[in-house]
Amino acid sequence: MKYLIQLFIFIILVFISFYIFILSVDPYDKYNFNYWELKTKAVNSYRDNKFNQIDNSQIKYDLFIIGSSRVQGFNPSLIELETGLKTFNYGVNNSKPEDLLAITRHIIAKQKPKIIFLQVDFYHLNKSIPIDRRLKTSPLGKYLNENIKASSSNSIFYLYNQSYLTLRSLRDSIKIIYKNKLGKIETTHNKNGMKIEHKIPKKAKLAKAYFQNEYKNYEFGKQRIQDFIQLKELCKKNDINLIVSISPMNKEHFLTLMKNKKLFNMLLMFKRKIVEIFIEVYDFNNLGAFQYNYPYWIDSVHPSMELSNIMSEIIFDRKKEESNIFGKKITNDNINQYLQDLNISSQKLFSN
Amino acid sequence: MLFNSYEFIFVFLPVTFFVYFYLNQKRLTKASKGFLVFSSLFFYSWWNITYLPIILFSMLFNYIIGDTLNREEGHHRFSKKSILIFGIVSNIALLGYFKYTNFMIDNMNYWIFKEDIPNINLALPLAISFFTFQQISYLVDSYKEETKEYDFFNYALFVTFFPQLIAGPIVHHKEMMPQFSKTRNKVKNYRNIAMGLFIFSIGLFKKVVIADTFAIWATQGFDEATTLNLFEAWATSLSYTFQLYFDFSGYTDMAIGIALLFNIKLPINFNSPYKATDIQDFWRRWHITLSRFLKDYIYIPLGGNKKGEIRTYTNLMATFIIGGLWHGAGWTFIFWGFLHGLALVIHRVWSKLNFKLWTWFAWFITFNFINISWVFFRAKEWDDALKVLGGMFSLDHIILHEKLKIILSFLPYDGIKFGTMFIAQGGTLDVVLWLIFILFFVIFSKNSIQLLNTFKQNIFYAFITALLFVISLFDMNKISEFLYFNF
Repeated sequence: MKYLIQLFIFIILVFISFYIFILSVDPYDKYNFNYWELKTKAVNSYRDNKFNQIDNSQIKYDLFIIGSSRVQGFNPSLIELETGLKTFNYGVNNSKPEDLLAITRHIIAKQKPKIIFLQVDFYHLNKSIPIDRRLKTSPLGKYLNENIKASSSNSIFYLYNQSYLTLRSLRDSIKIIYKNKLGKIETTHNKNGMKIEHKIPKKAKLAKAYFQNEYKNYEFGKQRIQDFIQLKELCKKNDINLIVSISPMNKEHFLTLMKNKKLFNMLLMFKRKIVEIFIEVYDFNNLGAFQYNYPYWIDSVHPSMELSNIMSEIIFDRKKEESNIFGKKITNDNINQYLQDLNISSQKLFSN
Repeated sequence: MLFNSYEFIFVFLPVTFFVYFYLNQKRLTKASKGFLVFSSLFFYSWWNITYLPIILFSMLFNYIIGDTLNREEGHHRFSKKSILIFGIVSNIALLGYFKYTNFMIDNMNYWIFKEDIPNINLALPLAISFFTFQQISYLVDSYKEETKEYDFFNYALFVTFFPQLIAGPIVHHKEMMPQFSKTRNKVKNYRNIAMGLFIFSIGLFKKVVIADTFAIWATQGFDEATTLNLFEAWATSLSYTFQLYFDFSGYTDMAIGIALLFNIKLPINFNSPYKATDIQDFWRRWHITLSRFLKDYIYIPLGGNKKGEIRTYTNLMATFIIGGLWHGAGWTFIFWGFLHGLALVIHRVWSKLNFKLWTWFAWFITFNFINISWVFFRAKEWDDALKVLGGMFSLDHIILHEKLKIILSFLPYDGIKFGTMFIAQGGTLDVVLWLIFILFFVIFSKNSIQLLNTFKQNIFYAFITALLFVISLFDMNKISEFLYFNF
């Protein structure tokens, strides 16, 4: 019995020690603690690495690719061949309009590009996705809008809005301490921002998490729309040609989305809103994407390098322009007809 | 309900434990047994209550057949042998219907009809392979008059006792029934509780921390990658080799630990199998209770080694092909069984030649044979197995780490490139560190049963148990089923 009491006390002590350590690091900035006086809490240094690269770059880039993880497949070398412009892929995982705007500000502060190619994702305008509070303490922090810098502790980074009672949070806490106090910066991408090679799965899995997180309670966020408008104005002011496209999703993802009528309507409204903001948009998010199976997808929303190459050819190689519904150029002039056609063909496909 | 779930650890197990001993303390022994059977059936039904009638029917049927076999010869219309045959055939028919019908249809479609007869929409009832084998052994022993007349409660407890119900160990009535009857097992034993919690924590750690980590890399290699180079393919196969061992032995450790809380000692199922220096040695160490069943109820009835060399080899092959088929309805499982049968035949021939291999070399051959044969066990299709094996033995497209370029750039072979290694495993070198560490661990460290035998109730063991338990608890947010639940 004495042993069992000892065991019980140890379980409680070990449990509390782990939990206090995680809280002291607060790896996902849930509570804004910084007991260890850490410079960064980014476990995956992808975003910071790209920032540092551009901040210190001696190379002058003429074209920047910006967007979420879905632009990681765009190959700057290929775009250089197509355009003759030195290109850098500044795609960062899980980006949203607020940090795309900050990234654009950073680019303009450090470089004078001719073109910025922005790829927007359906989830980008969803108000329900909270702001990633780690942005505030990241190097990009100073380029954020004032309202985010001053945002209250109520906004929590949604992906990490999980319990600290996980081995992952313990592991990340140790990693953060290691990285800040002892570690070196990881290599996450090539010099031109291109993601280091990746394997393409035989079958692209449905990215279910999007339906649980990114699309949840979908509602247009005024601030997010405003961020995109600011981004456009900034480019215009600096004489930068802003090219915008809407990222694709595969057939399974598209049909899964269609099961939710409200969500599908939001998708159509999203396209209209994006055209309203940017005037001219290449839309890869249509039935034209369904002709591509293996090896064109990493999962149901992330195009592989092969598909990204096709997309960059459509955008930058003018010969192929207008040749396909995939990457169709939509403007205020054709948006009504385009959405009507898309709705009819999608419904037909769905009912089959 | 999974052993590695919060609802099991914090609700089901404590409630069952306290109520069971409370009823025993009040001398309500029948009620306590009934409660344990009820709890076990509740535990079983947690996944899907539709399976419940199947296990109840199977249990009742086998109890009646066993009871009939226990009566003297003159008391029934049919001979004991025909009753036994009827019992065994019925059990196999039930297992065959649920487990092998679609496999048969697929093969008939392919080989005979050349058309597409649709599969039957059948879900495999959980643990059917385990409880069927367990009850067949009971019938055979009843026929041999090696069982006593047990009441239905005792029999039901023997079949459904929740720690071993889902994935074994496959227990023998002789080792379980007397334990359920012993009076001293009906009171709380603090040493058993301490030992049970110790081995349960080890098993939980093996499952949620080790096996589930390797599971990610194995799945990436087997199911997601289109091609694998040399290092990726070895990382894939070794990851599965360790995943399977830590998953299943972790489950068994947890089962042994939980049973100990109830003062029941389950037989050991694993004894450091990857330390084996020949294939016979491996089968004495891996899934010991299944090996025992196959030997006692298939190999020996077929004649064992008593009917000449050729017949012995045939019996070995037949036993292991059946063993392969027991694991799953697929040609890859049958081929896996065939490979092991063949290896045992070769080992037998080799032993007769009286050659002795250097121990480490013998271990190396054995371990690699097991690792390669698991590829067939894991692969969903032949193509997946060939993809992994092709990578393991191909020198094309070898990718070495970029940092090695300076040292190894003189290599004349064109197939070597420098870049990111283990792309199939997400480009992480963690997989190498884990594989090296775990390989050393399984070769040189004591296994959980050996650790249990040295267990002492002191601060050191309390701390280790607490540490393993809390780390596992922190990693339990990613609930994953045990591999042997599928068999």
